[in-house]
Amino acid sequence: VADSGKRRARALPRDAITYDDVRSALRSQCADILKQIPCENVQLSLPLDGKGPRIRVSVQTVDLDRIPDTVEVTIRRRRLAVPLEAVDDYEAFKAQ
Amino acid sequence: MAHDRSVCVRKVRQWVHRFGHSVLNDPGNGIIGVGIGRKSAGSIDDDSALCVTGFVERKLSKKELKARAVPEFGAAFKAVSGSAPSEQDLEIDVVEAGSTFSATPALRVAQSQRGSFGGPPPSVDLQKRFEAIRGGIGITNPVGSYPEFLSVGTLGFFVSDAAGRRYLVSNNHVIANENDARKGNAIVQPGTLDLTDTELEMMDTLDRLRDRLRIAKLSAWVEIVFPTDSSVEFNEVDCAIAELEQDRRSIAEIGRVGLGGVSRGLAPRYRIDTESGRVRGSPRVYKAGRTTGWTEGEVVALEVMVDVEYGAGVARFRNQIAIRPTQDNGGPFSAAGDSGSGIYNAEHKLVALLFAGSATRTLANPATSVIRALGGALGRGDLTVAGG
Repeated sequence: VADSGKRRARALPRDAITYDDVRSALRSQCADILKQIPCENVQLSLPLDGKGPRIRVSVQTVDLDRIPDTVEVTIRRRRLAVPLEAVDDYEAFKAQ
Repeated sequence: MAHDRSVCVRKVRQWVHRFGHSVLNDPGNGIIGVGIGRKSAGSIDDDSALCVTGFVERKLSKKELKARAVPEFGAAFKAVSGSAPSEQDLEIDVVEAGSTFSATPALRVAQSQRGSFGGPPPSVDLQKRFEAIRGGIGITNPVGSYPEFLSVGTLGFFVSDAAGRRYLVSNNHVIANENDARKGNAIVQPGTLDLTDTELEMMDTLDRLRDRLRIAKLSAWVEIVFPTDSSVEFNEVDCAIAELEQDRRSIAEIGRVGLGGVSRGLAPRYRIDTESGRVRGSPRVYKAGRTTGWTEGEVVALEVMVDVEYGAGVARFRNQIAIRPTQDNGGPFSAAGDSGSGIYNAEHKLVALLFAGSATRTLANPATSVIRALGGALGRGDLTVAGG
């Protein structure tokens, strides 16, 4: 179900970006990444679908076009542009 | 005494092995099975005398037996082995089976009878009181809310510290009430939401509830940080730990998950195969929880950053694991009341602690983060997951 959302198609730049880079970015630089995404209701994740290293950005449909193509992060002293994939599958999570 | 018991066991077993088939070979005696049982017809572990048990479809009175020319079991016993049970110093008993024994695949019916044999789907009751506690069963911290409010979450798994003290692990929001708890609070099993009317009447005060159902006392938790006007901090775990109390329940099964699985310790953090872009090993995971029982899912995302709604507000998490049910699961991977469940991989190793969900996905803290954070909060050295 999580894969059924509407996507904004983009060519994903693959040069120099690895899964480890994306993982490191999400583990340690979430605050910086969020500052570069102009939406309130956002979920970030590293998808495991084999379609390349990127950050999946789950938002509401109305915010789909506000998501930039990339975010800038610094990983191991390298400045990298990590590709974003915007998907309108945002849903509320509750403690169970 | 032990010698007498072993002699008795040997005599009964020898009789059954030697003469059991002869009893069954005589269709006139009505016996459909022979085995070793207890005079009480109860558990094989109870204290009543060990005996040769004859199974019948339906027990008949002496009058009915005589009218149908069916010998009593004692007579059938004597007929095949040459003397009465008392002469052989053996006890016998007759147990009603209710029907003949049939293999399970006998449930084959005409299409016109479809629907008549369905019954409820097979399930395990993880909401009841367990004498031998294990992962996947209902627990709660009732202090400050019972009896006005009833609650339940799930006991995730067990750990021990360097000194050998044993603890249960669940969510902060299950046993530390979203930071609003005190060390030493009683953790009870089952959860108060799962008590019957009679049980609620019998345990109508917190003291009575604690006396009867307490299994552990809250030892430590990791604070859930909620946003302030000036900042939004990230959480990585929703977890708490409670030391098991001596002699309250059996700990013989703490390596088990629910009524079936076993824990084989802690799995390492997920790694990603750089070629395939998928997790190394299998993405398949399982959990046993108080509400949805045993379910099967697959890890679909790592390092998830997400806002999660609690009673006390919305908290922001990062580095979480997202799971969705497999196609074969036939329902959600989790639901309210499953919080605190331990999540295991295909090798039965602990990978995560379940704490939140949406309509389609479940969120869990990586188990390695939970163990590290609880070790720090407890301050008693490294923790080891039971079953490893």
